[in-house]
Amino acid sequence: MSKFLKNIIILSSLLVAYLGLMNGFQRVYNNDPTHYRLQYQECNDGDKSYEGIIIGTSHAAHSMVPSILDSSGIGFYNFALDGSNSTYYHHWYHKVFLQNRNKTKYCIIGIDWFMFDRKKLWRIFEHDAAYFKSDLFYDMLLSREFNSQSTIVYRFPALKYRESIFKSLALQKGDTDYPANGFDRGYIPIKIPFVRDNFDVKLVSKVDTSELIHFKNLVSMLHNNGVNIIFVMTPEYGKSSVQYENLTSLDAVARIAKEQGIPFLNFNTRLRSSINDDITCFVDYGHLSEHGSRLFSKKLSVEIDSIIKVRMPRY
Amino acid sequence: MLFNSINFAIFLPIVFLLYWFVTKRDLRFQNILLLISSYFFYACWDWRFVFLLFFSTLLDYFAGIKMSDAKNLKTKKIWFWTSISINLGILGIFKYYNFFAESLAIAVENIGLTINPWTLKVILPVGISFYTFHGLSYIIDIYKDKIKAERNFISYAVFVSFFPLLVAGPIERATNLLPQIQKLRAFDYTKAVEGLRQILWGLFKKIVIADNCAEYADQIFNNSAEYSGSTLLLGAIFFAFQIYGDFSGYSDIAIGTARLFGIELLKNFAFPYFSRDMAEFWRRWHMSLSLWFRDYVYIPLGGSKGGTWIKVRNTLIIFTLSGFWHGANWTFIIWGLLNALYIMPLIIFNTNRENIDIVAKGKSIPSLKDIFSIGITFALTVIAWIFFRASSITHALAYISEIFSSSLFSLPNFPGLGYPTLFLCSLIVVFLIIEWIGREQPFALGKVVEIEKRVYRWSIYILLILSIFHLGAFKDTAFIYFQF
Repeated sequence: MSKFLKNIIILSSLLVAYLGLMNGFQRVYNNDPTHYRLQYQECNDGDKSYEGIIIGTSHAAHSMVPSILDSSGIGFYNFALDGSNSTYYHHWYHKVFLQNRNKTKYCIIGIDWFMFDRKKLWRIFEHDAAYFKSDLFYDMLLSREFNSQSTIVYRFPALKYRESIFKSLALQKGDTDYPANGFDRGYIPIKIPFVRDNFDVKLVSKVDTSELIHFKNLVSMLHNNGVNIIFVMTPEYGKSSVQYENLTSLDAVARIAKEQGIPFLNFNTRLRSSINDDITCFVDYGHLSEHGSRLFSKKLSVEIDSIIKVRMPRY
Repeated sequence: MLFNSINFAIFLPIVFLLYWFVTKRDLRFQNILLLISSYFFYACWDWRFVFLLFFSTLLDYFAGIKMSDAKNLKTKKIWFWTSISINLGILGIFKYYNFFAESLAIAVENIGLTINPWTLKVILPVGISFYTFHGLSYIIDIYKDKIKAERNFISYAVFVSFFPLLVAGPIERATNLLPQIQKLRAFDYTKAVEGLRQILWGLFKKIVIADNCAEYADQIFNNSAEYSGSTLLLGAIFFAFQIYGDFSGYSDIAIGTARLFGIELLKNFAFPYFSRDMAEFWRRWHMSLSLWFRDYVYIPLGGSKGGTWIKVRNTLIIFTLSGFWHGANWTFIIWGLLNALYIMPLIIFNTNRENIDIVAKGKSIPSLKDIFSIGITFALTVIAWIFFRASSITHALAYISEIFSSSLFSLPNFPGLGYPTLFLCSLIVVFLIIEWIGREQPFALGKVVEIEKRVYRWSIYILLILSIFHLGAFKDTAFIYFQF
């Protein structure tokens, strides 16, 4: 038995040493976009307080420029993350944000027609385990609410990026899609190669009930914390206002907005502008280019300013 | 708790250390520990079904004793049929009730009437087909006076619920497993190392081969109407390797894990894709189930005695039952019948036992005739797997008819096709080469034992572990056979 255990210990030690090396390597040369880490760093350890925060999907992350929104009189930080859904933000708000930051006065929630579709929005809370503080990580391991296996896998870079070892070996960490020098309080510009097909997307609204419930809970939680909410749907390319009618997801959001007196700034319908038809403002049908995001942020800033002036009018 | 999960990676060493350090001197403690571990393992799926497992164990335990103690054949028969009926009744309710109710509704609808059958919204308890068959074999063996009833309840409960085989076999026999449970196990270094080697190979098959193939097989089968014949053929081949890697990988992990505890389980696979005819394939695929049907259905029905037509009838019966055992769906029944049809010429012409030996035994390369036979057998198997994987018979027929259309000669095309797919195909080729080299061993990696230098052996282990780590698809995918 001792020989057997000795061999197991030697083999395990070799593997642990390899994992340790890989962990160090992947911590530097992984393929996660830089803004994920910077956003969490700010949320966990930042000492500056912000009057407003922005949450939502990649459409919000790459379109709302906080330094431009300053002209509205509110200092924002953009915490929107690619692929994030309502369930994700429901957890994020009370397990990450409220634990580390002072309450905020305003919250812009990015609205999308696919926001209640779990197939389209892939991010789960466990995906970000690498950025969580240790106490949250241990809490998640013990909680039945989260998948402990996923929490462990996504905590350690060696495990999280194990499939992309060859890619990591071949590439310097570059963030080619997200130029880090454009980073601005959570906002980061997006630069992806132009593909004509990416501009032609059919709007199909699917509502997963649990996502809708989490969205309502998130809204209630924000309200209970005295946060003024603003719903913002960022511009999309080339579609008419009519195409956004009768989408169950947007109808559900509009209903909540109406019931709870939340302003809903829809830049594809009521607030449609020349941005919507200018292809240079977009990298695909729904992601604004750096140029587009700056133009849009100016417009958004004006709208927010007017909302604040009339003290958050009802929808 | 999946074998390829972190939970199992924590559970197994704990049980192993307790078993060999705390309970090693006392058989009773060894068995109690195995029983508690097995029930904990099963409760991790769904604790409610622990009661069903316990009830099934208790029923067969008492029925076995009553049959052994019976003073006359009538009493013995009463207990025998009570146990068989309740066991099959439970299996029928949980696994087949909805199938029969819905099939009846469809049949009635065809004659212009309408009924709304009362269907059960119940979850299928994992492993129910496997532990029910354990119990049945025990009861039948006692009835036929092949074994005596086990009077120690703990030993019998371990026989039914031993965690490595509880959820997907191999389907054990009391004659093989019970005597091992009745004796104190002593640690055997060679056996334990062999067990670890088999676990490693099983994990490679499951995580690297099966789960990677699953991604493409699922994509192609789920959207089959959009693809050409060549793509569908590729999808069916991916599924053939998925199911082999998945189920034989599971069996390797189960057998290897049992070895760590000093217990030898029945062999379940013997390189079936190197079979030269369908009869050989069925002697090498899910061997514990094939043997079960042979011993408890085929032979009692008359087996090979009584002329060709009796053999044909019995073969049809066991393959239909085998299909039905896999699931309450017509696709499985057709899959079983198709395999029976494949075997039929061999039965009729009495050539079903021509290929008993290992293919190209003692040689490195097979003969052209062997290659041809292996190719034909594999092709037939792949066609049958289409029924097994398809969502309905209509789906399977449409899938097959597209394969046999002119689009078979176009280049495969589906989202994701490219280097990852080519890489996966290369992995399958490497996997087949390793299986070929190790085909004379109980499992392919068993060949490693012949390498004298430890450093080479360890290099192979480390290479395999790193392959699993970097190339494996860790997607929480359960083993296919858990559903049966």
